[in-house]
Amino acid sequence: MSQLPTPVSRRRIILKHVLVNVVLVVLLVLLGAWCYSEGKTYKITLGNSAFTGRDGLEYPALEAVEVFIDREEPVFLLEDDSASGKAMGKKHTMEIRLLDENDKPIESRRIQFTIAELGEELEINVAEFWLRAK
Amino acid sequence: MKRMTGGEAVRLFCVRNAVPIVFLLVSAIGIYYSQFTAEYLIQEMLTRLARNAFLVLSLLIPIMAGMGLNFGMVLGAMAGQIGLIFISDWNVSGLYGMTLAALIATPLAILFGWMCGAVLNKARGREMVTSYILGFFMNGVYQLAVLYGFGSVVPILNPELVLSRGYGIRNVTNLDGIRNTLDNAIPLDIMGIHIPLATFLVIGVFCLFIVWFRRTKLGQDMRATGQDLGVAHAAGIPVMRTRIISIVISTVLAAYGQIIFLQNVGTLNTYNSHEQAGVFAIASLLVGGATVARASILNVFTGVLLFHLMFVVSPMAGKYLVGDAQIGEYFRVFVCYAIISLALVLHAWRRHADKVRARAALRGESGGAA
Repeated sequence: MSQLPTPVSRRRIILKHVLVNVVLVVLLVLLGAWCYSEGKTYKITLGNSAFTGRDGLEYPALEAVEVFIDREEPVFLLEDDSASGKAMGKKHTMEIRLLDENDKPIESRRIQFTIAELGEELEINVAEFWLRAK
Repeated sequence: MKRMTGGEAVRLFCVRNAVPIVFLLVSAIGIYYSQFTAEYLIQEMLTRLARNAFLVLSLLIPIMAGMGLNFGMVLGAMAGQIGLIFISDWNVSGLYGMTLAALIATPLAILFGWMCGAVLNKARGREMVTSYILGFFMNGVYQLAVLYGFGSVVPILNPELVLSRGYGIRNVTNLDGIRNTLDNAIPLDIMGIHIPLATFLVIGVFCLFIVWFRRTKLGQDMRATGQDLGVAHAAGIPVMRTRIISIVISTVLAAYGQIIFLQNVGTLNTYNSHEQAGVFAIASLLVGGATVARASILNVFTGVLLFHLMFVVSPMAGKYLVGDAQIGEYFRVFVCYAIISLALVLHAWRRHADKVRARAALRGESGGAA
């Protein structure tokens, strides 16, 4: 004679429900943390000034540049100029376009950077990044 | 019972669709006087449909459960706004920001919905007025929390959000980070008209959810509860729990709807946006031909289009008719509240007409009083 299936205990069902709910909550919290990390927008100070390289040499500021962070609206900078830009997330690509006297791009360079490497002040010297992007 | 003649059928159709017909006529007159171009009106309608449809759709589930128009949806809107205040403070932008705001709003909306549902279960038969007053009560709690709690108990780090005294959120919160994020997620322009495709896709998914939900066990339970509470209870349906769940779902969806609404507007009116959300959504649904007891997805779209068509054309129509732009603005506010009153009056009149007709049909008379 085949045996009837034993009924699943009520306690086990409740435990299963609690477990599913906990997993759901954990997944939602993780999704929230990921959204925060990827969507956090940082205000970055962009400067264009002379600097001293690691080799000890003095490098001049660029004459005029257009800076694109993640292909967003460009920031226009003259020599010894500074402005602010926005960057969403942790990793970014910056495109620097060197402009001639008629503000026409003559050379363009791209460089990748992370928010962590900028330090607490979130400052970028475009002239230095231009050299690094070579 | 006699069969209806053609004239009676037309009369019945007019009675059943009295509200949309009245608004269609008034809008047609308004379009004529406003002198707007077709392109402008189409663009406005598409924008407003994308902006409001989700909020209005969130009202369908409580109607299905027999709880009438959920004026308590403002609680969900408040939850959505709290999520938006947090993402503005943390500078989280784009679709990530919207998702995070929705995630923050979800537990709050569940809590508010559960509270609202529990109260409405105590006030069976008077759900609408109870939820309306509950909305006022929670508005006070929300204002207390946002005006005094945020910045003091709840840390708010962005000085642009906080009042100069050091605590409390400013009247207007800028949502630059998420402005039109969803609307422009899938760019589509046809003949110079911008179509917020991604928003429409989200609304479409929501419509499919409602269609699917009606066929589920819970959906069937809600329909049974909505038709007759006593019979549903006798059939073993946990009616009180079902009613609470319907309000919780509606409140959570209203929170998402408010986030979609505000990403389109781009500015959060911290202390007023949620109040407008409830009034406009309910007015839209009623204008679409829905009643307190019956509403469909078609009513939602018809209502949003008609209500907002009226909303767009009425100020200009008022201006050209009376010659003063300010009067046009007053006319707009007047129209908004008049719509709700008129829709409710027409609804009551239609119910009375239906009853008279049903009695006449029972006696074997044709047509009855419509």
